[in-house]
Amino acid sequence: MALVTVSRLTKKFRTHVAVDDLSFSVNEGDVYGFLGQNGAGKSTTIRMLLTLVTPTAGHIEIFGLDLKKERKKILSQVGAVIEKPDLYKYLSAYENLSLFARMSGTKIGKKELFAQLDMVGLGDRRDDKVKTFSQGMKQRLGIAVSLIHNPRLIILDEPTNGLDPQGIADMRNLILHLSRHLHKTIIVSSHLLYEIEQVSTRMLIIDEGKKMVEGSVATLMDPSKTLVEAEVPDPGKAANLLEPTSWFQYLQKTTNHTLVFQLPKELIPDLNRELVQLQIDVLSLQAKNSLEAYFLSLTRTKQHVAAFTD
Amino acid sequence: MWQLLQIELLKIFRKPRTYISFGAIALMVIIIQVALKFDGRSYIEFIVGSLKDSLEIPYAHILNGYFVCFIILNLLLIHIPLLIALVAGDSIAGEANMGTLRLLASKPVSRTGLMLAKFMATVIYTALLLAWLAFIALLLSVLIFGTNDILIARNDSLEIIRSNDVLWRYLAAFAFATLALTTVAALAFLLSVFAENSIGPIVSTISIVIVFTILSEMQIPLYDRTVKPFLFTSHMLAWKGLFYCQVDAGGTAIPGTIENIHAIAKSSGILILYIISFVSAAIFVFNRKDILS
Amino acid sequence: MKTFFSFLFPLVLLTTVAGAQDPSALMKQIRDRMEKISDYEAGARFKTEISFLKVPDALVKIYYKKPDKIKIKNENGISLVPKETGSISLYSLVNSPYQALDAGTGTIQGVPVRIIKLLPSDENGELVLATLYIDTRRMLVLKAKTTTRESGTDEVELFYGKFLQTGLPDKIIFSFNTQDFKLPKGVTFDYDDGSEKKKPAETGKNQRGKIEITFLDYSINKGISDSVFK
Repeated sequence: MALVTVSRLTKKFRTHVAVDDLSFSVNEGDVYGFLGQNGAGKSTTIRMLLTLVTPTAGHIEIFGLDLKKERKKILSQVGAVIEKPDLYKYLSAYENLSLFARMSGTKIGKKELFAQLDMVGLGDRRDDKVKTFSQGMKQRLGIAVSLIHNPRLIILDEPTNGLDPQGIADMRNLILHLSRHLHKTIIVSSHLLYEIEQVSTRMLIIDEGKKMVEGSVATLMDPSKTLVEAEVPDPGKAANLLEPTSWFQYLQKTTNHTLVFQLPKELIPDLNRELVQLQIDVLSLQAKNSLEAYFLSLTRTKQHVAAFTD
Repeated sequence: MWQLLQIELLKIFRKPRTYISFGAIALMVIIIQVALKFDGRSYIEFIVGSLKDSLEIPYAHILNGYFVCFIILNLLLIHIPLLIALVAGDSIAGEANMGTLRLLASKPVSRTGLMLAKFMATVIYTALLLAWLAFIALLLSVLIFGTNDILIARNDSLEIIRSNDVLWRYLAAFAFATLALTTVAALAFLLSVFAENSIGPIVSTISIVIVFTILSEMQIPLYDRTVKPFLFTSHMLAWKGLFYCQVDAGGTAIPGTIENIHAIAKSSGILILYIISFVSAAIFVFNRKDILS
Repeated sequence: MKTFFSFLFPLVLLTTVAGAQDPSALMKQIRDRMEKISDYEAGARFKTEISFLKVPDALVKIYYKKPDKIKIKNENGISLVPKETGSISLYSLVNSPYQALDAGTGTIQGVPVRIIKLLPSDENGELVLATLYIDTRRMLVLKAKTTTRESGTDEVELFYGKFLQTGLPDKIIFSFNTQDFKLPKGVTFDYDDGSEKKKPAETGKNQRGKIEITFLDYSINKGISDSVFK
């Protein structure tokens, strides 16, 4: 059952189109990965789901209800951490949690609030002001705030931003816990593919506000279409050497420094052996799944992710 | 609604900056009180000017708590908009800056309700600030200086109000000042909707109040009947009208009267109109605002 | 204005000079009569009618002591009382050389009066001319006008009633020019209620101010300490 249905969503800021005719749906129980570069339109889309931004066009349905008409009803069952978990710095952890719990429309007792703080490991800091908290503690309090009213749908916008490796691992475990044990539906956005693929069941890649790919992670990660980059001193000469062999059919292209193959993952050792036999000096060999390859191809032209290309 | 208001009040009164205002008022009032305690005569001489050559001025009687309170209000009420803007201008912009606005606006409460709660909390803050001012400027002055008749200096006259005719005027004046400062709060509140940090709305509110006050006080006939009646700052001074007495045919002041109560009522009406306009505009804009902070 | 206080001196009735026709003799009686009241303390209602002084009525105490001490006190509140210059009190007027002239008759408060003009002998003095209106039947001064070099003509009118026995008035009304008052400018942020402002001409010269003192009680010749007048 589709818990969230977004159809033909568009948002324009003056002349800039942030989200362009975007449609997707999130099923109950999904951990829905929302992947895109910074500025791709993820945040704008999430803000439209939370009624922070008004769509220029399109329609959003959550829990089978029209978001425009049933805003209060829907939002009372949605919990969110949007970008940084900013809270009232001059209030204590307990006061922050209590304040947002009250705003969520459900009556929540002191015991439950304390229990929630214990759950995110802030039980002994509950009376301390948030301004004394580390980024990780703030993040955990933000999570506590987003979960306190037991929402059906949880939206996490770039939840690992600014966290240390331990914090990132904790966040990953939390998402898996919420999904597997509490059966929550979760939308999580990130600009990092590996974060998404580690936790998501389905994902959507957007770029410049447009949908690029949507599907189950299992399909998108299809190992039969693994991409292999072999770094060699002279790719042209190497390609000539490969031409008579059966491996040539897998060769996708040559760049200044690499040969790029697409082939089933299990053939990689054979390819490696063949290259050695052909006396091609391999400087490095890197395998990527097709999704990664695809995501990179999207971002290839863009400066800040030029690491894998020439 | 009540719950939202409670939450907003909690936010205001747990914020350290809120108490800057209370501290600033106490400090300014006490500075004035100390100055008048030690050199009140000079100030009275300054007020009565050359009239002291032709009139017997009973300095000791004039320097009393009621008079001191009037001086304090005269000096301070012009500056209190700054303190009001400090909190009202922060109301929305401060949350945008802190990053809590997006969390707030994604909760299942209407934006209109949120804004009304915020504004009401600001009004309560304004009223409490005025109550604090009343307490420290009136009560403390009366304790220090005692009570007596009050001498009011106007541009074209001196006025005396009997001590038993003063207190109700002060109560009305504080009520009016609350209304006047609520207008400032409403303006800061409106400007706060547009900004992502609170400095902008605070500075713009103060600038507007300063420019309008200058226009209100400029003795330029061109503005007197064209611009001045529409500036809220002209009407903010109406609290003083409560200390202007009616006079009989011979020119003797009549106790218990107000010279031009219609003008004060009209000023109140205009201020209320300003408040409604500012707050409605703020709600209108906020309801359509994309929260990107 | 400057003679304001002088009229609080016992400008008394002249009972013993009935039929006296000589203005100088009449004035001598006044002087003699004034000598008889050496001090008084009076309770009075003080009413101010000056355009730029908006003051409600006040209850005051008025103290007099021979020869020329006068004090108006408002113990419970504030009254703004014009300052005494002392230079030309009526006391000093009647005690310095002057020439008294008969200036005919008139009617004051519906009563026929004799008008006497006093010309000070000292031509360089502050006082230029004083005019007294005397009720010759009851021998009371009902009105006096003084003209001084600086402040023009001041007027005082005296009304008698329940204190007639003592020779002191029930009520005194002073009227005087008010152009001497210079109000301080620009020290107040006034509330402009939008009503029409008075034209400068209205507040300028020739404006008369009035002070009305209604005596409620007198206590005469009981002795008053000098410290009261400090």
